[in-house]
Amino acid sequence: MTSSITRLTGAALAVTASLALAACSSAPAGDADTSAPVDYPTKTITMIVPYAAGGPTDIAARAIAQESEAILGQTIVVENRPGASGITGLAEVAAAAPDGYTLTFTTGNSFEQSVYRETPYTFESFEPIAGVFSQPYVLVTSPSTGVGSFADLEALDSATYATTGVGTPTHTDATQLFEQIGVDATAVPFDGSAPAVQAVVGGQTTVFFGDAAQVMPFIESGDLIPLAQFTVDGERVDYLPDVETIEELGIDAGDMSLPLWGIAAPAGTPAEIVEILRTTFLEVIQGDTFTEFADTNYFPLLTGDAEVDWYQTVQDTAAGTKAVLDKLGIVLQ
Amino acid sequence: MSTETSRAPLLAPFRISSLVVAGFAATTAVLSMQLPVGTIQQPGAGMWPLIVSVGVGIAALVLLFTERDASDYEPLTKRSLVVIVGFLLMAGFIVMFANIGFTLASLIFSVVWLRFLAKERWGVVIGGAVGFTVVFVVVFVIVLKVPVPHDPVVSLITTGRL
Amino acid sequence: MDLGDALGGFAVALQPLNLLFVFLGVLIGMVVGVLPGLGPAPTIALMLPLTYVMPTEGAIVMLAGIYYGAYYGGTITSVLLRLPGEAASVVTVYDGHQMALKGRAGPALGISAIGSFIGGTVAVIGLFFLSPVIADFAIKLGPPEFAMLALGGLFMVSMLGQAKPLKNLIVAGIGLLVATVGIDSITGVSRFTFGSTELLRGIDFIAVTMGLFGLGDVLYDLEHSVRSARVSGKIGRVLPTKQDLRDSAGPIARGSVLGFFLGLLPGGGGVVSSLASYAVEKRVAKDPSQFGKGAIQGVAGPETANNAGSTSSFLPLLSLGIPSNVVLALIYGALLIQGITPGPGLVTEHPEVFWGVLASMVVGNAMLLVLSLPLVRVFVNLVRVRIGILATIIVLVTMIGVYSVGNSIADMWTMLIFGVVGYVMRKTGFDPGPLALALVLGPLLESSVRQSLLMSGGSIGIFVERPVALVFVLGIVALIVFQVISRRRSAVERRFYDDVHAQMHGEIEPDPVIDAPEDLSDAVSPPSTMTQSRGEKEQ
Repeated sequence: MTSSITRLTGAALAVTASLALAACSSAPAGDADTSAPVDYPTKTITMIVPYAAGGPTDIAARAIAQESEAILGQTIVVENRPGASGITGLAEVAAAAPDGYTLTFTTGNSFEQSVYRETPYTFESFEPIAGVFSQPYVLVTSPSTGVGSFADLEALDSATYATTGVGTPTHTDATQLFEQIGVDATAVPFDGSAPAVQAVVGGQTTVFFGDAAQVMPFIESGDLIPLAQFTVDGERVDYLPDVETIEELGIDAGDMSLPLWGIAAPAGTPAEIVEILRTTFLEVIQGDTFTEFADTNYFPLLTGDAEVDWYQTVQDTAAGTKAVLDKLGIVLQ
Repeated sequence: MSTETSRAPLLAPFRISSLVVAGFAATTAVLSMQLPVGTIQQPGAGMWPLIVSVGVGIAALVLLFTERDASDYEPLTKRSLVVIVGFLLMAGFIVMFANIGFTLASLIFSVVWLRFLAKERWGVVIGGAVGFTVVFVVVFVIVLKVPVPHDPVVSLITTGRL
Repeated sequence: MDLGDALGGFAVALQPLNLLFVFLGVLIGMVVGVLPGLGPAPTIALMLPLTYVMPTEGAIVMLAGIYYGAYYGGTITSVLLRLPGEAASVVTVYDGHQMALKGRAGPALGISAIGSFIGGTVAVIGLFFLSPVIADFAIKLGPPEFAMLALGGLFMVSMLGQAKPLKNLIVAGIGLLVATVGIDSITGVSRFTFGSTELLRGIDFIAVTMGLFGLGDVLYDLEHSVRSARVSGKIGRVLPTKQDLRDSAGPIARGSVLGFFLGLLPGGGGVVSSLASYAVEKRVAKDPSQFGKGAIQGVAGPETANNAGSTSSFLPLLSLGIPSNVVLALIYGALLIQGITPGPGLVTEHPEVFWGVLASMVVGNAMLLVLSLPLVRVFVNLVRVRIGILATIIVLVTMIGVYSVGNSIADMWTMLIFGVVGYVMRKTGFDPGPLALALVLGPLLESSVRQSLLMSGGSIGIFVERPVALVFVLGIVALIVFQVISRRRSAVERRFYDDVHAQMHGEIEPDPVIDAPEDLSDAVSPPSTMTQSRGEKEQ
């Protein structure tokens, strides 16, 4: 769905570029289909984060970028391109040259948009490089709502819950949860996790089912009460030992999903470059500094199969969420 | 004066703007209704634009009927044609910016504007065009590293290739 | 709050190295903030990488300096070039630019710096004494309060703009419609995007304002003058006069308090503080007709309120870890990178950071004041440049500026289209201000109203059941009532005095019923045949 102006610009640029290349007969920079070692990277790399600065995705991206610079020997500039649930930023990455100098660090949800709406990209537009971490969800409420435990919640006739946006896991997971416990619940969407957390801390909605990273400071200070937790492996996290998992509470989490974060490049990026990037990023992610950063901020790192299969998991999640949205009659255009 | 000034006729030219606004509001109202409107209790995506469009339309119609004279409005004169030239130059800048880079676009634009629209002497024109271009390119492209579309001049200077 | 901790904060802020960082921050912020399109947010985003390599306090203190410097840079362009740097500066354009056209740019900028310093300092003092109380209060504010705040803001905009209220309402309405382009955050449906990815992002505020005010003015000037400057002749004093300071004392005092409280409200705080201050000042002024023509109170009040609001808006960030706007979100990020998690624990775990940041704001504002006085002399001469040359500069700067916001050529076209709209508006007597402000307040209003309705299950009563929302509603009602009364009264008065004047000069015969001089009581209650036209024009 590129606008005609962009197409025109793209065409004009392509013509100009090819004319320029023809005019100066310098040898092209290291090309991908030789078997000689690839000369990469030789200039600054751009990592696009399709969300606003200061959010969890942005922070993590900057941490990774900073660590990776030492290994790659080049600057990695993190640029924010927020808007349209991540579509704006990802569209730019999909359209970028697959030369390894444009990457993205983002959540699975931004890729999933291609299934829910018309986007200028599909899952095939990208080459996954590495999965980084996920996020457990905690069901929280403010002391002012009078709900002290999961049982209290089940006893309610009706409730409201904050979400970080339509179609996000904070929305679809909570919907399914309430359906299973038989409480009539209304979603109140906000524009991102910061306002959603603010709303639940202030008691504007009954609960919020969302990122541990966002809510833990408030749980620790007593401003929020944890009612349940939802983790990738169904086990309690060690920083919330007394909070039951939703499986323990009898909830079927089969169709629920948790957010995943990963790094990707435009499709067609040469395999050697992907390999270099992958090795670098995995080294950084498993290194001490980043592990400590992830721990402090409650981001469980993806390891083993979970990491290798991250992109596939995102696609599966998309299909599952779409089914849930269809069932609920929610249409995103 | 306590006598009322006589009202200008309903179809006087200055009323065009109220009509245009009313027409615009009608269009957006129709477009809003193509979106899910929902109910007052459960507003859909189209409810708000619909309400605002209707409000603007009503206000425009009120304006149409109550505005007495053209005192707010300036007439279009032959001089107004120069505005079209200015607009075309600006549009030209954008096209040049996207295709031949910031430096050349800025130089060409400045020269044309300063010489033909501002009617400055050649000394001022060249000095201004070069001066502004250099300052802006240095500040925005080099210092702030704004990723502008490929600029052959900057490329020539910094890397020796177009 | 512990005075020891607070003083400790000052000790941190006043260390020579940190002073240098603040100075650098303010300078960079001012210079970059003057460039349209590069407001506080992109500037800080650009500087963020620098903070990795700096000591914590230095980094935060420098970012705070950039924050203030950039806001002041926005004021500079508002006053000198009629280009609002961000939404909160739109109000400054009204009187500030008029002052510049009268050769009084220096006092306008000077009083802004002074007012900002005082507003910021008052806000810091307020935070010192009131933090715990306020933090608890602020968290209870939710969508119903934001909705009423935004609504109040929109009403104020319509009544305070420079054209007839009806026309302002129309323009505000158009702004609200422009704001709906993009994805609806409540239902996820795309509106008015016609299948374009560019439009999915919505229409950028900077592109609209630069177009309406910047390019629109350039096109308008093109039609009207060729070789003169916007201001010819002597520039006049560069510093505010004693009279200016006297006139501004009240607005600054009122603006500080107003801005402090309104700034605590996330989202609309800065914009609404400046609007509210303008409304209040216009209401209490001895000569309200001067507003819109270069009344210094119209600059002093809003600029102070704006800065007090920017300072108090740090509270939700520092004490709750909730950034209330993009800029604060960036600072939140910077703090996280330094290993500090803003949140409920910040004040107790890292008091030196909390108080260091607040103290650096006072120092930053003082630095701004000191820097601005000599620089004003330089900046002020900008208005004396010949229009043709100025036009070239404005076009180039706004074009590259708007491009740098999102690396988007489409934004440049948007700006050009709104440039044409701005030109048409100037020709037809519409004020572009309400459009820009509606673009900011509209989404807040719409989302908040819909969120409130979802929270209450569809009941509209939620807006009056909650105490703070109710206060805002009553405020809006009072505002409307006062406006209507005062306009009717002034229209009547003006009519009456015009008649008296005309009779004295023998232009008309006294009407035995209406104009009987001894029966003044009749003149106060409006006869039913009166029209509104004269009263409207005077606004």
